[in-house]
Amino acid sequence: MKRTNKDNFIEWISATCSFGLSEGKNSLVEVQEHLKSDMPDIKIRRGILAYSSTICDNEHFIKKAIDCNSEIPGVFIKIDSIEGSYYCELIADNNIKFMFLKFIEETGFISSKIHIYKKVFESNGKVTMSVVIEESMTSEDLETKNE
Amino acid sequence: MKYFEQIKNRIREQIDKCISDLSDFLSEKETYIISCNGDPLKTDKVWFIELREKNMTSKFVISCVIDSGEEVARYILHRYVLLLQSFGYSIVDEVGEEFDFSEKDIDTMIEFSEFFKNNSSVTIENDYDNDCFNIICSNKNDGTVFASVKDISARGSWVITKQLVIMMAGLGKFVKTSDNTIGNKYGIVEFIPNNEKNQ
Repeated sequence: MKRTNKDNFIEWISATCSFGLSEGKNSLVEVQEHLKSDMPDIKIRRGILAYSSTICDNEHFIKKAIDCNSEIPGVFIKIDSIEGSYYCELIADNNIKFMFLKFIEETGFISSKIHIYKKVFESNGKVTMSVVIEESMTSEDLETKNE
Repeated sequence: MKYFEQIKNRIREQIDKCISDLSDFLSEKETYIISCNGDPLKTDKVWFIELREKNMTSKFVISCVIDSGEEVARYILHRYVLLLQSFGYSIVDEVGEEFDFSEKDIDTMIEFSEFFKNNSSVTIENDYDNDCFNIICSNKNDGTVFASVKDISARGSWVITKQLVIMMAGLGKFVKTSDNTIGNKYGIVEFIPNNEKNQ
């Protein structure tokens, strides 16, 4: 079984993002619309791994989606506020999933498969999340496939 | 190699933080409730093995079992119970009751205990053989199998392996892996090489 550095990195990110304290009592996960102008020329290809840094204080954003196949410095995806008096993991997950799907569509992809790995810190409402885009396909890919 | 350079330090920070968080969390004076829970999206493919102090709400994920069913996750949970008990930690089930251990379990705990008592440095490998991923802890000619896992993807088995590396470092062992990640409870001292041949 051939192992690559890329495999190792993806596994380390999955391993570390899910490892640690979870289940926050504090509810603050704010989601804001992703701003397209933040990332005008970014393309996400198959096998992409996006991961977040800690969300803290009043700056709530997912930081750094990194394309495994090209050189991009990072992506900021801002997410909308979640309504409700208490934190709901399911709502948060669905919102994040929706935002990433929207983001992918905006970058020209017609289909994608996403997994969300997430951990929530109890203190300060801090949240760390990771999103793995396991498959994605552009209309170009589809044409090539159909040929 | 810019891609690897870009994220290498970030991942290394993450690993160091995990090791440090685990060291802070674990205490031999506490009793921990261990549980296995599916992900919130209920994919039935992602399972979190978590420790919780009695009377506390926050949970500490020690292993994330992906691309497999609950049975595999429960097996990993059981192996962690044996491992942590062999290190002297008190672990109880979800209703707060002590686990019933079979003769085989006790033998495994003795094996774990002797191996880790005798070896402060541990190499952790994931050896694929006959449709089975064997996660092995070894040092020179001494070794013990932490888990043998079937019905899981390669990626899933490697995530378990890497989280065992973090666990072992957090427990104070000097850990080496086949990807040349080397570390101890003070964090990772070396990290994945920039080996272009492996790209």
